[in-house]
Amino acid sequence: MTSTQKIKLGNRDVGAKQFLKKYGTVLVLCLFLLFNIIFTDNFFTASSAMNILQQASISALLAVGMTVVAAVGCYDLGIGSYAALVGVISALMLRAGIPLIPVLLACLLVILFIELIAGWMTAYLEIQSIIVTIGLQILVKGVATVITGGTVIPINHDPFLYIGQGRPFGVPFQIVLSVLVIAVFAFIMSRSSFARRLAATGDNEKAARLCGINTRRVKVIAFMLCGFLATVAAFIATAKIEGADPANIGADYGLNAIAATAIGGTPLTGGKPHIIGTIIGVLIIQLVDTSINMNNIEYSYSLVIKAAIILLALIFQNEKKD
Amino acid sequence: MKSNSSDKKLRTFLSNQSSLLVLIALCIVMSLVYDRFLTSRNIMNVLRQNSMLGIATIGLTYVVLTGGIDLSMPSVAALSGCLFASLSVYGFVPALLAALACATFWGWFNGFIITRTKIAPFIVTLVVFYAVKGIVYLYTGNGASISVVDSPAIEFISRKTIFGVIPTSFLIFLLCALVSACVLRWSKFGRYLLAVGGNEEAARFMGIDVNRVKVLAYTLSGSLTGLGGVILAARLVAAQPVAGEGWDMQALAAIVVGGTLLTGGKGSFIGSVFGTLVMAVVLNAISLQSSLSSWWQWIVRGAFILIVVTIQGVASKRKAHI
Repeated sequence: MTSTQKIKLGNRDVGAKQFLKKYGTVLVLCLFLLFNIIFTDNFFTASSAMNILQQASISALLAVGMTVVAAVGCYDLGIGSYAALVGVISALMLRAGIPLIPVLLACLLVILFIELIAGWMTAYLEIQSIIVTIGLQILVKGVATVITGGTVIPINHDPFLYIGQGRPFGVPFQIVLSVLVIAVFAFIMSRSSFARRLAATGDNEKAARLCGINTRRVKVIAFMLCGFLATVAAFIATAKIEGADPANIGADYGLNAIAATAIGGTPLTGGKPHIIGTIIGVLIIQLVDTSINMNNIEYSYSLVIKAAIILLALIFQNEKKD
Repeated sequence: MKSNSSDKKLRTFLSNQSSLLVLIALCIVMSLVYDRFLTSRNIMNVLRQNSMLGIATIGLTYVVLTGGIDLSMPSVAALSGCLFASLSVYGFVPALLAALACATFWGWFNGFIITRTKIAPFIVTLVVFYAVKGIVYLYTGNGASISVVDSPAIEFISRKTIFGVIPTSFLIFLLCALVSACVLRWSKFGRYLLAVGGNEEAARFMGIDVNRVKVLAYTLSGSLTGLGGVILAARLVAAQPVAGEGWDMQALAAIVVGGTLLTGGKGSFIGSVFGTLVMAVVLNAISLQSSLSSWWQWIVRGAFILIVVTIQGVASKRKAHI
């Protein structure tokens, strides 16, 4: 890798290409920021910046989880339904008067167990991860909605709501939480041997197995890490809407997370996870959303515009690989 | 001698179509448990409600046989239904042709992007799902339903029955399935479909134009989904933007139950018919059992997908060990 880079850097033309390849997404992000600063009223204020970060905090957690799964060449489309289930479990347990920490742990355990099944089916039974997670998504969402009967269960437990609505020192707690979780995660991913095993598995599973890596276990752990992050995101989302709404929550979590991962430069066929890239991808998608909202563009247009941007980004990423 | 070979044929048919046995068993159990199951009214309703979805399922089967997936179905069905409704003033045939052309275009678009960019099919079709959903909402002016100008032809394809039990729409579904089964069995394209789904690389080396086969499969999926959407709109005498919601998952469940491998290369259209009917009868049980809420449908669908793919996964692993 380094030797080819050195050779290519000698050629100035290729150097520019390398620069684009490395910083393309950052450039796009800057362009979007510039566009909004010029054309969107009230964009360049602290409150709107806070707003964007606040909304991005949920998607960032989900997208980083998806990045880890994508690194081993899998996808997890079930994350939206896990949010539904976490909402229902926490609403019911809090209503029964169980204290906060056991409730959070119970939710986490349930989701980790589901991800364990997802990972096991993908890694050991060698079923495509999309199919497994689509099946789980339908099942889990079904269970969550059957429990509530399709209605919303309100939550009025203050410590729980603090997760999504608290503002220590004026900074939304959800931003603090997601930044902390992701920072720890990124640190682990840059240092641990597991990260290297993860990338090796995604890059070339056979080679990794021959090197003595238990690639199946790596895959299962990747799914469970994704589940952990998705659970944290689900806590924030549930606390934000002050209740469990399994019929509606999380509908587009999967696609947004995959799009952010792809825009951020993690190869969707497996390979080295780019967590910083994914965060930039999340911010780009959030900026698209925000500029659509703040310029009063209809929901229907926003769907088309967003889909077009995501598709273009994916096509661009694909060309780059070749 | 002759009876021996036909006996063998029947046996291979039954072992390939185990969903038929499941269907028969289900029907026997249902008729014992629910008095209302075997009434002509109930049977007619079940057949009629599921024939639109069945037609779309046949379309999706083409894609699944190549090892792909089409998640854009729901919104493509809604779009063609809306187009059909708003053009029904100009007569049945022009409206039908326009709606089918539109659905066919989106199917082709899916195939084109997937084959030209090598982005995973589920991502491309998921993005197209959102884009087309946006277009549907734009077209209907934010989600209003469009009424169909009724005519004898429209009534014939959607609400008429033959012998008072078999709806014409169900016959259209059977016709689509039979034609597709013949195509799969006797045409070059059918053989190519299985070859591409079985081993894409090998198919390419055999000189098969893999991209063309795939594009054709997605295009057919779009057309048949469009036909399903049109008949749905005709049946309700109104096109709703939310029509076809959940069709992708329902069709996927039916295809899996019908014995088609989601990895491609093995399966049948007749299996998809039986799969559709099995799911239809199971869902009928849920609606006949009034104590169960309609959300149970999701649990049943998810469970069916997961159970069948697990069985397939275990079976194929066992085969690999031998």
